Amino acid sequence: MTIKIYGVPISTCTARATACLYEKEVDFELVPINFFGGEHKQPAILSKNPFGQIPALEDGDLTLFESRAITAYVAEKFKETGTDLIRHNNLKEAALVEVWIQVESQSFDPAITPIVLEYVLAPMKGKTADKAVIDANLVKLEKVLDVYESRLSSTKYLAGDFYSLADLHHYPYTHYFMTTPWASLVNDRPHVKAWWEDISSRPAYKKMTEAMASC
Amino acid sequence: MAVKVYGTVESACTQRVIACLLEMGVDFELVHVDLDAGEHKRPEFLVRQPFGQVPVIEDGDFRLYESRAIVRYYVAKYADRVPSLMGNNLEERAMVDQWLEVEAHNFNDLIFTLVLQLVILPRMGEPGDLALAHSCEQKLEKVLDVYEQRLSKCNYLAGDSFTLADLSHLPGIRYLMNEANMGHLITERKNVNGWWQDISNRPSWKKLMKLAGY
Repeated sequence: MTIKIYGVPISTCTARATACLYEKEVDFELVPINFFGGEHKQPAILSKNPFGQIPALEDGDLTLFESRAITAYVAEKFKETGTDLIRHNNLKEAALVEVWIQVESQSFDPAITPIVLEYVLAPMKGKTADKAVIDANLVKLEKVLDVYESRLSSTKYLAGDFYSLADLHHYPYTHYFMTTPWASLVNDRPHVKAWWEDISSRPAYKKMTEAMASC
Repeated sequence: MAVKVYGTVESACTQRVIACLLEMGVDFELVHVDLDAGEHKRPEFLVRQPFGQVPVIEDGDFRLYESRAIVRYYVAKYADRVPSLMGNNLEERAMVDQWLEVEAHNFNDLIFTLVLQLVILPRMGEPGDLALAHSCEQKLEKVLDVYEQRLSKCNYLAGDSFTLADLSHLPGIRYLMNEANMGHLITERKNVNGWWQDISNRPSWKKLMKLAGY
């Protein structure tokens, strides 16, 4: 039975989940949600995610929400085949993957999300972007990317010299961020730039962006 | 050799790690970092944690930061000690991960902002944003309604056993009940309150409360 993902390709968190499925070459069926029509707040979806958010995953009897729990599940279930996203055979490497998964979740995401939501999403909803919010978060993001620049000057990828789930989690918001006027925050940092160019050249990233464009 | 934990016994994220180490019976030594004096922003500390945050652990040569990564590491390292803290199979583990993510993304920011505005800023002599605090409180009510519904179906967040998902909530809820004076959010909800009474009465958490001098 095929894994089902409830969401929309242009949604950053749905894209995080589907990128992982693409990377692991696991078949799935995307069940579209009428996001702008508020379908995610309706009972059918609330029964899958009581917080009324997308994505949700169904795999047989298992229903899961939270994109990073979904990617962790997919990476664990299919750990013996395809790209080794979680280094399950090496406890210390696995721990370092987890450190940078948390860094993305706790430091990178809170800074980049408001910028993307204001610049990309607000106009879609007919609102003006809040410049103060953008400016405040650009300052935070610069500081985070300074740490990334230093890290990536000693390792090829975030958790070490191997691509991992920690790098993949950065895909969706960074993809949108690079379409904003502030892409220089990435491009002006040589190691961050090289890392982004590398990870965004992977087939899974291309599949993710093609799905976004076809929406 | 005992694990060194760099942090403070009052910091919520340090508490998350200490609670886990106490649950798992892992020997540790708390190395106090003087946050008030800005020790965590100095070069010697930034070598340990480049984002200038606590906690950091050093286990022999191995250094880790991010409290939620640290607790996952120790549960994996000592899986034979308390096997159920991350679930016993793939599906149970997925549920633990799901509720750990809920704590990180739907719960923590609200608690953190509330505590910052109502407790930390006033302590530093600055005015807290009461409107923001109130808005967080309202959002937290909705989030805890979901928890109330969840805990009407099972004893703990990820299922019928205590896991890292429950443990991860302990420090934040303690702040909510005490310094932030928002205990009503918990006590007004029968299942959430029952769950809180249960998890906060675990010997490991009580030991931490003693260590912290609460």
